[in-house]
Amino acid sequence: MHHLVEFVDNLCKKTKDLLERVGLFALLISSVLKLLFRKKLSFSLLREQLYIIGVLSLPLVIMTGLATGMVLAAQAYFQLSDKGLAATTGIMVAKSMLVEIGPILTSFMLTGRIGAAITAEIGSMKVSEQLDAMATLGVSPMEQLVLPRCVAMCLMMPVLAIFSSASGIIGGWLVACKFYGMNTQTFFEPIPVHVNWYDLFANGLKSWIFGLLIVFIACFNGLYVKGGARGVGRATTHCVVLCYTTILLSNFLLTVALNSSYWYLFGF
Amino acid sequence: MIEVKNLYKSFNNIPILKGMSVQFPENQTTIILGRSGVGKSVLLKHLSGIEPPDSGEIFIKGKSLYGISSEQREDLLSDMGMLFQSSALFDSLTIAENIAFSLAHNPLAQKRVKEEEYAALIDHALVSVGLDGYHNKYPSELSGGQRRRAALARLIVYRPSILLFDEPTTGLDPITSMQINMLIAETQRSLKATCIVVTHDIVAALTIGDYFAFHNEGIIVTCGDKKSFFQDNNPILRHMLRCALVPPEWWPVLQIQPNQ
Repeated sequence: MHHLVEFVDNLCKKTKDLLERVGLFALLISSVLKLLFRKKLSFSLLREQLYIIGVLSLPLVIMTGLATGMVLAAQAYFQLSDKGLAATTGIMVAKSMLVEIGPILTSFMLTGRIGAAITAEIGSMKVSEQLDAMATLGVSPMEQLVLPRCVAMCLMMPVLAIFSSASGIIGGWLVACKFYGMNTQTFFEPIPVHVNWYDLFANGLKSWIFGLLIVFIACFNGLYVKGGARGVGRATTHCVVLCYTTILLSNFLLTVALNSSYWYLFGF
Repeated sequence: MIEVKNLYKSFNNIPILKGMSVQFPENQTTIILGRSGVGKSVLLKHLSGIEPPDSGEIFIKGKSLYGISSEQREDLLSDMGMLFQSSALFDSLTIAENIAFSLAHNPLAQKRVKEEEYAALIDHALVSVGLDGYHNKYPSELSGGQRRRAALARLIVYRPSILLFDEPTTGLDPITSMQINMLIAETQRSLKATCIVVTHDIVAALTIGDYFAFHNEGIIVTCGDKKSFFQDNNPILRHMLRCALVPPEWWPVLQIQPNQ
Protein backbone atom coordinates (compact mmCIF):
# COMPACT_ATOMS: atom_id res chain seq x y z
CA MET A 1 0.00 0.00 0.00
CA HIS A 2 2.84 2.34 0.97
CA HIS A 3 4.63 1.66 -2.36
CA LEU A 4 1.43 2.34 -4.27
CA VAL A 5 0.97 5.71 -2.54
CA GLU A 6 4.59 6.56 -3.24
CA PHE A 7 4.19 5.52 -6.90
CA VAL A 8 1.03 7.63 -7.34
CA ASP A 9 2.69 10.55 -5.57
CA ASN A 10 5.74 10.35 -7.88
CA LEU A 11 3.49 10.03 -10.92
CA CYS A 12 1.54 13.13 -9.88
CA LYS A 13 4.77 15.09 -9.32
CA LYS A 14 6.19 14.00 -12.71
CA THR A 15 2.93 14.88 -14.48
CA LYS A 16 2.86 18.27 -12.78
CA ASP A 17 6.49 18.93 -13.80
CA LEU A 18 5.76 17.87 -17.37
CA LEU A 19 2.67 20.08 -17.60
CA GLU A 20 4.64 22.96 -16.12
CA ARG A 21 7.37 22.51 -18.75
CA VAL A 22 4.80 22.28 -21.56
CA GLY A 23 3.24 25.51 -20.26
CA LEU A 24 6.64 27.25 -20.12
CA PHE A 25 7.43 26.00 -23.64
CA ALA A 26 4.13 27.44 -24.92
CA LEU A 27 4.92 30.69 -23.10
CA LEU A 28 8.31 30.85 -24.84
CA ILE A 29 6.71 30.42 -28.27
CA SER A 30 4.07 33.06 -27.54
CA SER A 31 6.73 35.50 -26.24
CA VAL A 32 8.77 35.08 -29.44
CA LEU A 33 5.67 35.65 -31.61
CA LYS A 34 4.72 38.70 -29.54
CA LEU A 35 8.22 40.18 -29.95
CA LEU A 36 8.17 39.43 -33.66
CA PHE A 37 4.89 41.27 -34.19
CA ARG A 38 6.10 44.19 -32.06
CA LYS A 39 9.02 44.43 -34.52
CA LYS A 40 11.61 44.03 -31.77
CA LEU A 41 14.06 42.22 -34.05
CA SER A 42 17.51 43.76 -34.33
CA PHE A 43 18.83 43.47 -37.89
CA SER A 44 22.50 43.31 -36.83
CA LEU A 45 21.80 40.41 -34.45
CA LEU A 46 19.76 38.63 -37.15
CA ARG A 47 22.57 39.08 -39.70
CA GLU A 48 25.07 37.56 -37.25
CA GLN A 49 22.82 34.54 -36.64
CA LEU A 50 22.09 34.11 -40.37
CA TYR A 51 25.83 33.89 -40.90
CA ILE A 52 26.41 31.44 -38.02
CA ILE A 53 23.41 29.22 -38.75
CA GLY A 54 23.35 29.51 -42.53
CA VAL A 55 26.76 30.25 -43.99
CA LEU A 56 28.91 28.39 -41.46
CA SER A 57 26.67 25.29 -41.59
CA LEU A 58 26.79 25.12 -45.39
CA PRO A 59 30.02 23.07 -45.79
CA LEU A 60 28.79 20.48 -43.25
CA VAL A 61 25.36 20.23 -44.87
CA ILE A 62 26.85 19.90 -48.38
CA MET A 63 29.38 17.28 -47.26
CA THR A 64 26.82 15.10 -45.48
CA GLY A 65 24.30 15.49 -48.31
CA LEU A 66 26.95 14.55 -50.88
CA ALA A 67 28.08 11.48 -48.92
CA THR A 68 24.50 10.27 -48.34
CA GLY A 69 23.59 10.75 -52.02
CA MET A 70 26.67 8.74 -53.00
CA VAL A 71 25.73 5.87 -50.69
CA LEU A 72 22.11 5.96 -51.89
CA ALA A 73 23.21 5.76 -55.53
CA ALA A 74 25.74 3.00 -54.84
CA GLN A 75 23.13 0.88 -53.04
CA ALA A 76 20.37 1.62 -55.56
CA TYR A 77 22.57 0.77 -58.52
CA PHE A 78 23.91 -2.37 -56.81
CA GLN A 79 20.46 -3.60 -55.72
CA LEU A 80 18.53 -2.69 -58.89
CA SER A 81 20.93 -3.25 -61.77
CA ASP A 82 20.57 -7.07 -61.83
CA LYS A 83 16.78 -6.60 -61.97
CA GLY A 84 17.07 -4.30 -64.97
CA LEU A 85 15.98 -1.25 -62.95
CA ALA A 86 19.30 0.64 -62.85
CA ALA A 87 17.74 3.49 -64.86
CA THR A 88 15.61 4.38 -61.83
CA THR A 89 18.70 5.20 -59.74
CA GLY A 90 18.49 8.93 -60.53
CA ILE A 91 14.84 9.30 -59.66
CA MET A 92 15.29 7.22 -56.50
CA VAL A 93 18.14 9.35 -55.25
CA ALA A 94 16.43 12.65 -56.19
CA LYS A 95 13.04 11.77 -54.73
CA SER A 96 14.39 10.40 -51.45
CA MET A 97 16.88 13.25 -51.02
CA LEU A 98 14.24 15.90 -51.66
CA VAL A 99 11.30 14.47 -49.76
CA GLU A 100 12.91 12.68 -46.82
CA ILE A 101 16.65 12.55 -46.42
CA GLY A 102 17.53 16.18 -47.24
CA PRO A 103 15.38 17.78 -44.51
CA ILE A 104 16.08 15.04 -41.95
CA LEU A 105 19.84 15.05 -42.53
CA THR A 106 20.02 18.85 -42.42
CA SER A 107 18.00 19.01 -39.21
CA PHE A 108 20.19 16.35 -37.57
CA MET A 109 23.33 18.23 -38.55
CA LEU A 110 21.89 21.51 -37.25
CA THR A 111 20.76 19.91 -34.02
CA GLY A 112 24.37 18.97 -33.33
CA ARG A 113 25.99 22.12 -34.67
CA ILE A 114 23.48 24.81 -33.71
CA GLY A 115 20.93 23.37 -31.25
CA ALA A 116 23.51 22.05 -28.80
CA ALA A 117 25.50 25.29 -29.07
CA ILE A 118 22.41 27.43 -28.37
CA THR A 119 21.53 25.40 -25.25
CA ALA A 120 25.12 25.44 -23.99
CA GLU A 121 25.56 29.18 -24.64
CA ILE A 122 22.26 30.36 -23.16
CA GLY A 123 22.52 27.78 -20.35
CA SER A 124 25.98 28.87 -19.27
CA MET A 125 24.88 32.51 -19.42
CA LYS A 126 21.94 31.58 -17.20
CA VAL A 127 24.00 29.76 -14.55
CA SER A 128 26.61 32.54 -14.42
CA GLU A 129 23.85 35.18 -13.93
CA GLN A 130 24.67 36.83 -17.29
CA LEU A 131 21.00 36.67 -18.31
CA ASP A 132 20.02 38.40 -15.05
CA ALA A 133 22.73 41.00 -15.63
CA MET A 134 21.38 41.57 -19.13
CA ALA A 135 17.89 42.08 -17.72
CA THR A 136 19.12 44.58 -15.11
CA LEU A 137 20.84 46.55 -17.89
CA GLY A 138 17.42 46.95 -19.50
CA VAL A 139 17.96 44.32 -22.20
CA SER A 140 15.53 41.48 -22.65
CA PRO A 141 17.37 38.13 -23.15
CA MET A 142 14.40 37.08 -25.30
CA GLU A 143 15.00 39.99 -27.68
CA GLN A 144 18.76 39.74 -27.58
CA LEU A 145 19.31 35.98 -27.70
CA VAL A 146 16.15 34.02 -28.54
CA LEU A 147 14.36 36.05 -31.22
CA PRO A 148 17.29 36.47 -33.67
CA ARG A 149 18.13 32.75 -33.43
CA CYS A 150 14.51 31.72 -34.05
CA VAL A 151 14.09 33.96 -37.11
CA ALA A 152 17.50 33.03 -38.55
CA MET A 153 16.78 29.32 -38.13
CA CYS A 154 13.37 29.66 -39.83
CA LEU A 155 14.95 31.47 -42.77
CA MET A 156 18.03 29.28 -43.20
CA MET A 157 16.70 25.75 -42.63
CA PRO A 158 14.77 25.46 -45.95
CA VAL A 159 17.75 26.93 -47.84
CA LEU A 160 20.16 24.48 -46.20
CA ALA A 161 17.82 21.55 -46.86
CA ILE A 162 17.74 22.45 -50.57
CA PHE A 163 21.56 22.57 -50.61
CA SER A 164 21.71 19.21 -48.85
CA SER A 165 19.24 17.63 -51.29
CA ALA A 166 20.99 19.12 -54.33
CA SER A 167 24.41 17.95 -53.17
CA GLY A 168 22.90 14.48 -52.52
CA ILE A 169 21.67 14.34 -56.11
CA ILE A 170 25.10 15.45 -57.36
CA GLY A 171 26.74 12.81 -55.15
CA GLY A 172 24.38 10.19 -56.58
CA TRP A 173 25.21 11.28 -60.13
CA LEU A 174 28.97 11.09 -59.38
CA VAL A 175 28.71 7.49 -58.19
CA ALA A 176 26.13 6.29 -60.73
CA CYS A 177 27.64 7.95 -63.79
CA LYS A 178 31.33 8.42 -63.04
CA PHE A 179 31.91 5.26 -61.01
CA TYR A 180 29.38 2.74 -62.35
CA GLY A 181 29.34 4.22 -65.88
CA MET A 182 25.63 5.03 -66.06
CA ASN A 183 24.57 7.47 -68.75
CA THR A 184 24.11 11.04 -67.42
CA GLN A 185 20.96 11.56 -69.49
CA THR A 186 19.45 8.32 -68.11
CA PHE A 187 20.22 9.52 -64.59
CA PHE A 188 18.71 13.01 -64.92
CA GLU A 189 15.97 12.62 -67.56
CA PRO A 190 13.25 11.05 -65.36
CA ILE A 191 13.81 13.46 -62.48
CA PRO A 192 11.69 16.41 -63.79
CA VAL A 193 8.94 13.97 -64.77
CA HIS A 194 8.56 12.46 -61.30
CA VAL A 195 9.73 15.28 -59.06
CA ASN A 196 7.15 18.07 -58.91
CA TRP A 197 6.67 21.33 -57.02
CA TYR A 198 4.88 19.44 -54.25
CA ASP A 199 8.11 17.60 -53.41
CA LEU A 200 9.90 20.93 -53.14
CA PHE A 201 7.07 22.21 -50.96
CA ALA A 202 7.38 19.11 -48.74
CA ASN A 203 11.15 19.71 -48.50
CA GLY A 204 10.64 23.34 -47.48
CA LEU A 205 7.80 22.69 -45.05
CA LYS A 206 9.52 19.80 -43.30
CA SER A 207 12.82 21.60 -42.92
CA TRP A 208 11.06 24.75 -41.71
CA ILE A 209 9.16 22.82 -39.02
CA PHE A 210 12.29 20.88 -37.99
CA GLY A 211 14.15 24.19 -37.72
CA LEU A 212 11.45 25.59 -35.45
CA LEU A 213 11.58 22.48 -33.27
CA ILE A 214 15.37 22.65 -32.96
CA VAL A 215 15.57 26.33 -32.09
CA PHE A 216 12.69 26.35 -29.61
CA ILE A 217 13.83 23.17 -27.85
CA ALA A 218 17.40 24.50 -27.71
CA CYS A 219 16.44 27.93 -26.36
CA PHE A 220 14.00 26.40 -23.86
CA ASN A 221 16.61 24.01 -22.49
CA GLY A 222 19.11 26.85 -22.18
CA LEU A 223 16.73 29.32 -20.53
CA TYR A 224 15.43 26.84 -17.95
CA VAL A 225 18.69 25.11 -17.11
CA LYS A 226 19.20 24.24 -13.44
CA GLY A 227 22.44 23.54 -11.62
CA GLY A 228 25.96 24.55 -12.62
CA ALA A 229 28.23 23.12 -15.30
CA ARG A 230 26.67 19.67 -14.89
CA GLY A 231 23.22 21.20 -15.40
CA VAL A 232 24.36 22.82 -18.65
CA GLY A 233 25.78 19.48 -19.85
CA ARG A 234 22.57 17.68 -18.95
CA ALA A 235 20.45 20.33 -20.68
CA THR A 236 22.57 20.09 -23.83
CA THR A 237 22.25 16.29 -23.96
CA HIS A 238 18.53 16.60 -23.28
CA CYS A 239 18.19 19.14 -26.08
CA VAL A 240 19.91 16.88 -28.64
CA VAL A 241 17.93 13.77 -27.64
CA LEU A 242 14.63 15.65 -27.60
CA CYS A 243 15.35 17.28 -30.97
CA TYR A 244 16.16 13.94 -32.64
CA THR A 245 13.07 12.28 -31.16
CA THR A 246 10.64 15.06 -32.03
CA ILE A 247 12.11 15.45 -35.52
CA LEU A 248 11.68 11.74 -36.27
CA LEU A 249 8.14 11.63 -34.84
CA SER A 250 7.05 14.84 -36.54
CA ASN A 251 8.61 13.60 -39.80
CA PHE A 252 6.31 10.58 -39.72
CA LEU A 253 3.25 12.75 -39.00
CA LEU A 254 4.23 15.26 -41.68
CA THR A 255 4.82 12.53 -44.26
CA VAL A 256 1.39 11.03 -43.61
CA ALA A 257 -0.26 14.47 -43.68
CA LEU A 258 1.55 15.58 -46.85
CA ASN A 259 0.78 12.32 -48.68
CA SER A 260 -2.88 12.47 -47.63
CA SER A 261 -3.23 16.08 -48.74
CA TYR A 262 -1.51 15.23 -52.04
CA TRP A 263 -4.00 12.44 -52.65
CA TYR A 264 -6.84 14.76 -51.65
CA LEU A 265 -5.67 17.56 -53.95
CA PHE A 266 -4.39 15.67 -57.00
CA GLY A 267 -5.59 12.09 -56.68
CA PHE A 268 -3.16 9.19 -57.32
CA MET B 1 12.79 56.25 -1.80
CA ILE B 2 12.33 52.52 -2.29
CA GLU B 3 9.62 50.85 -0.28
CA VAL B 4 8.88 47.15 0.07
CA LYS B 5 5.43 46.28 1.41
CA ASN B 6 4.38 42.86 2.63
CA LEU B 7 6.48 40.91 0.11
CA TYR B 8 6.00 37.14 -0.14
CA LYS B 9 7.97 34.69 -2.27
CA SER B 10 8.26 30.91 -2.22
CA PHE B 11 10.37 28.54 -4.29
CA ASN B 12 9.07 24.95 -4.62
CA ASN B 13 6.63 25.64 -1.78
CA ILE B 14 9.47 26.76 0.51
CA PRO B 15 8.73 30.30 1.73
CA ILE B 16 11.74 32.61 1.38
CA LEU B 17 10.25 36.06 1.87
CA LYS B 18 7.48 36.04 4.47
CA GLY B 19 5.71 39.36 4.37
CA MET B 20 8.78 41.55 4.23
CA SER B 21 8.31 45.29 4.66
CA VAL B 22 11.15 47.82 4.64
CA GLN B 23 11.97 51.32 3.42
CA PHE B 24 15.31 52.27 1.89
CA PRO B 25 16.19 55.96 2.33
CA GLU B 26 17.01 58.00 -0.76
CA ASN B 27 20.60 59.00 -1.65
CA GLN B 28 22.03 56.84 1.13
CA THR B 29 23.71 53.46 1.33
CA THR B 30 21.62 50.81 3.04
CA ILE B 31 23.33 47.66 4.19
CA ILE B 32 21.29 44.46 4.43
CA LEU B 33 22.91 42.02 6.82
CA GLY B 34 21.75 38.48 7.41
CA ARG B 35 22.78 34.85 7.46
CA SER B 36 23.30 32.88 4.25
CA GLY B 37 20.16 31.48 2.65
CA VAL B 38 17.67 33.82 4.30
CA GLY B 39 16.74 35.41 0.97
CA LYS B 40 18.82 38.60 0.81
CA SER B 41 19.77 38.07 -2.84
CA VAL B 42 16.17 37.11 -3.59
CA LEU B 43 15.11 40.49 -2.21
CA LEU B 44 17.60 42.25 -4.52
CA LYS B 45 16.30 40.27 -7.50
CA HIS B 46 12.78 41.46 -6.65
CA LEU B 47 13.97 45.06 -6.41
CA SER B 48 15.72 44.81 -9.78
CA GLY B 49 12.65 43.34 -11.49
CA ILE B 50 14.28 39.98 -12.28
CA GLU B 51 12.03 37.99 -9.97
CA PRO B 52 8.32 38.80 -9.59
CA PRO B 53 6.85 38.40 -6.07
CA ASP B 54 4.07 35.95 -5.18
CA SER B 55 2.33 38.88 -3.46
CA GLY B 56 3.17 42.27 -2.00
CA GLU B 57 4.38 45.48 -3.54
CA ILE B 58 7.59 47.34 -4.28
CA PHE B 59 7.44 51.10 -4.73
CA ILE B 60 10.28 52.84 -6.53
CA LYS B 61 10.06 56.64 -6.79
CA GLY B 62 6.44 56.32 -5.74
CA LYS B 63 5.49 53.88 -8.52
CA SER B 64 4.49 50.31 -7.86
CA LEU B 65 7.04 48.16 -9.73
CA TYR B 66 4.60 45.36 -10.49
CA GLY B 67 1.47 47.50 -10.80
CA ILE B 68 2.52 49.41 -13.93
CA SER B 69 2.76 48.53 -17.62
CA SER B 70 5.84 46.66 -18.87
CA GLU B 71 7.00 49.79 -20.76
CA GLN B 72 6.76 51.92 -17.61
CA ARG B 73 8.57 49.22 -15.63
CA GLU B 74 11.30 49.14 -18.27
CA ASP B 75 11.71 52.93 -17.89
CA LEU B 76 11.84 52.67 -14.10
CA LEU B 77 14.35 49.81 -14.12
CA SER B 78 16.60 51.47 -16.67
CA ASP B 79 17.60 53.95 -13.93
CA MET B 80 18.81 51.06 -11.81
CA GLY B 81 21.88 48.82 -11.89
CA MET B 82 22.97 45.71 -10.07
CA LEU B 83 26.41 44.32 -9.29
CA PHE B 84 26.24 40.54 -9.05
CA GLN B 85 28.24 38.37 -6.69
CA SER B 86 29.66 36.50 -9.69
CA SER B 87 30.25 39.82 -11.54
CA ALA B 88 28.16 38.38 -14.42
CA LEU B 89 30.32 39.97 -17.11
CA PHE B 90 29.48 38.75 -20.62
CA ASP B 91 32.34 36.32 -21.12
CA SER B 92 32.28 36.42 -24.93
CA LEU B 93 32.85 40.20 -24.91
CA THR B 94 35.95 42.18 -23.94
CA ILE B 95 35.80 44.54 -20.94
CA ALA B 96 35.31 47.57 -23.23
CA GLU B 97 32.57 45.73 -25.14
CA ASN B 98 30.89 44.82 -21.85
CA ILE B 99 30.78 48.49 -20.88
CA ALA B 100 29.70 49.53 -24.38
CA PHE B 101 26.90 46.95 -24.17
CA SER B 102 25.25 48.77 -21.28
CA LEU B 103 25.66 52.13 -23.08
CA ALA B 104 24.20 50.76 -26.30
CA HIS B 105 21.28 48.86 -24.77
CA ASN B 106 20.22 50.59 -21.56
CA PRO B 107 17.22 52.81 -22.45
CA LEU B 108 18.42 55.57 -20.10
CA ALA B 109 21.90 55.58 -21.64
CA GLN B 110 20.41 55.60 -25.15
CA LYS B 111 18.62 58.85 -24.26
CA ARG B 112 21.61 60.47 -22.55
CA VAL B 113 24.63 59.32 -24.54
CA LYS B 114 25.55 59.63 -28.23
CA GLU B 115 27.48 56.82 -29.90
CA GLU B 116 30.52 59.02 -30.54
CA GLU B 117 30.85 59.58 -26.77
CA TYR B 118 31.15 55.84 -26.00
CA ALA B 119 34.94 55.63 -26.22
CA ALA B 120 35.52 58.54 -23.82
CA LEU B 121 32.95 57.24 -21.35
CA ILE B 122 34.43 53.73 -21.41
CA ASP B 123 37.91 55.19 -20.80
CA HIS B 124 36.59 57.28 -17.91
CA ALA B 125 34.71 54.34 -16.35
CA LEU B 126 37.78 52.10 -16.53
CA VAL B 127 40.06 54.77 -15.08
CA SER B 128 37.63 55.41 -12.21
CA VAL B 129 37.69 51.72 -11.19
CA GLY B 130 41.46 51.45 -11.67
CA LEU B 131 41.37 49.27 -14.77
CA ASP B 132 42.91 51.67 -17.27
CA GLY B 133 44.35 49.72 -20.21
CA TYR B 134 42.16 46.67 -19.68
CA HIS B 135 39.89 47.50 -22.64
CA ASN B 136 40.71 44.45 -24.75
CA LYS B 137 40.99 41.87 -21.98
CA TYR B 138 38.34 39.18 -21.66
CA PRO B 139 36.69 38.53 -18.25
CA SER B 140 38.45 35.16 -18.04
CA GLU B 141 41.81 36.98 -18.11
CA LEU B 142 40.99 39.03 -14.98
CA SER B 143 41.22 38.19 -11.28
CA GLY B 144 38.10 38.09 -9.08
CA GLY B 145 38.66 41.62 -7.79
CA GLN B 146 39.34 42.99 -11.28
CA ARG B 147 36.18 41.33 -12.59
CA ARG B 148 34.16 42.92 -9.78
CA ARG B 149 35.67 46.33 -10.67
CA ALA B 150 34.96 45.82 -14.39
CA ALA B 151 31.35 44.96 -13.54
CA LEU B 152 31.19 48.14 -11.47
CA ALA B 153 32.50 50.13 -14.45
CA ARG B 154 29.77 48.59 -16.64
CA LEU B 155 27.26 49.72 -14.03
CA ILE B 156 28.37 53.29 -13.36
CA VAL B 157 28.95 54.21 -17.01
CA TYR B 158 25.26 54.99 -17.56
CA ARG B 159 24.96 56.77 -14.18
CA PRO B 160 21.89 55.07 -12.68
CA SER B 161 20.35 56.64 -9.57
CA ILE B 162 19.71 53.30 -7.82
CA LEU B 163 22.51 50.77 -7.36
CA LEU B 164 22.13 47.28 -5.94
CA PHE B 165 25.15 45.29 -4.78
CA ASP B 166 24.93 41.56 -4.10
CA GLU B 167 27.79 40.60 -1.78
CA PRO B 168 30.33 42.79 -3.60
CA THR B 169 33.34 41.70 -1.51
CA THR B 170 32.66 37.98 -1.04
CA GLY B 171 35.69 35.87 -1.91
CA LEU B 172 38.11 38.79 -2.09
CA ASP B 173 41.17 39.45 0.07
CA PRO B 174 40.89 42.28 2.66
CA ILE B 175 42.86 44.79 0.58
CA THR B 176 40.82 44.20 -2.59
CA SER B 177 37.64 44.21 -0.47
CA MET B 178 38.54 47.60 0.91
CA GLN B 179 39.25 48.89 -2.64
CA ILE B 180 35.79 47.70 -3.75
CA ASN B 181 34.20 49.29 -0.65
CA MET B 182 35.92 52.59 -1.39
CA LEU B 183 34.74 52.42 -5.01
CA ILE B 184 31.16 51.80 -3.88
CA ALA B 185 31.33 54.74 -1.45
CA GLU B 186 32.87 56.98 -4.13
CA THR B 187 30.26 55.92 -6.68
CA GLN B 188 27.45 56.64 -4.22
CA ARG B 189 28.86 60.10 -3.55
CA SER B 190 29.52 61.03 -7.18
CA LEU B 191 26.17 59.76 -8.51
CA LYS B 192 24.22 60.77 -5.36
CA ALA B 193 22.73 57.32 -5.77
CA THR B 194 20.50 55.24 -3.54
CA CYS B 195 22.61 52.15 -2.84
CA ILE B 196 21.46 48.86 -1.35
CA VAL B 197 24.26 46.49 -0.41
CA VAL B 198 23.73 42.89 0.65
CA THR B 199 26.78 41.67 2.54
CA HIS B 200 28.15 39.50 5.33
CA ASP B 201 31.20 41.70 5.58
CA ILE B 202 30.79 43.73 8.78
CA VAL B 203 33.88 45.81 7.99
CA ALA B 204 32.38 46.72 4.60
CA ALA B 205 29.07 47.49 6.27
CA LEU B 206 30.71 49.83 8.78
CA THR B 207 32.81 51.48 6.06
CA ILE B 208 30.11 52.32 3.55
CA GLY B 209 26.75 52.01 5.32
CA ASP B 210 24.49 54.91 6.34
CA TYR B 211 21.42 52.85 7.13
CA PHE B 212 21.24 49.20 8.18
CA ALA B 213 18.67 46.41 8.02
CA PHE B 214 18.89 42.91 9.47
CA HIS B 215 17.20 40.21 7.43
CA ASN B 216 16.23 37.00 9.19
CA GLU B 217 13.72 34.26 8.38
CA GLY B 218 12.23 36.15 5.43
CA ILE B 219 11.57 39.45 7.17
CA ILE B 220 13.52 42.54 8.24
CA VAL B 221 13.71 42.15 11.99
CA THR B 222 15.42 45.43 12.76
CA CYS B 223 16.66 48.48 10.91
CA GLY B 224 18.03 51.91 11.66
CA ASP B 225 21.05 54.18 11.43
CA LYS B 226 24.53 53.00 12.43
CA LYS B 227 24.23 53.81 16.14
CA SER B 228 20.76 52.45 16.80
CA PHE B 229 21.32 49.37 14.61
CA PHE B 230 24.54 48.23 16.24
CA GLN B 231 23.05 48.77 19.69
CA ASP B 232 19.96 46.71 18.90
CA ASN B 233 19.44 43.78 21.26
CA ASN B 234 18.13 41.29 18.69
CA PRO B 235 19.88 38.07 19.83
CA ILE B 236 20.57 36.75 16.32
CA LEU B 237 22.02 40.07 15.21
CA ARG B 238 24.19 40.24 18.32
CA HIS B 239 25.34 36.66 17.73
CA MET B 240 26.18 37.40 14.09
CA LEU B 241 28.13 40.52 15.04
CA ARG B 242 30.08 38.57 17.66
CA CYS B 243 30.88 35.80 15.18
CA ALA B 244 31.88 38.29 12.50
CA LEU B 245 34.08 40.44 14.66
CA VAL B 246 35.64 37.97 17.11
CA PRO B 247 36.33 34.30 16.35
CA PRO B 248 34.40 32.04 18.83
CA GLU B 249 37.59 30.38 20.13
CA TRP B 250 38.55 33.77 21.54
CA TRP B 251 35.22 34.30 23.36
CA PRO B 252 36.35 32.59 26.64
CA VAL B 253 39.59 34.56 26.56
CA LEU B 254 37.65 37.80 26.10
CA GLN B 255 34.96 36.63 28.57
CA ILE B 256 32.16 36.89 25.96
CA GLN B 257 29.05 34.83 26.79
CA PRO B 258 27.72 32.81 23.78
CA ASN B 259 24.11 33.88 24.37
CA GLN B 260 24.83 37.40 25.49
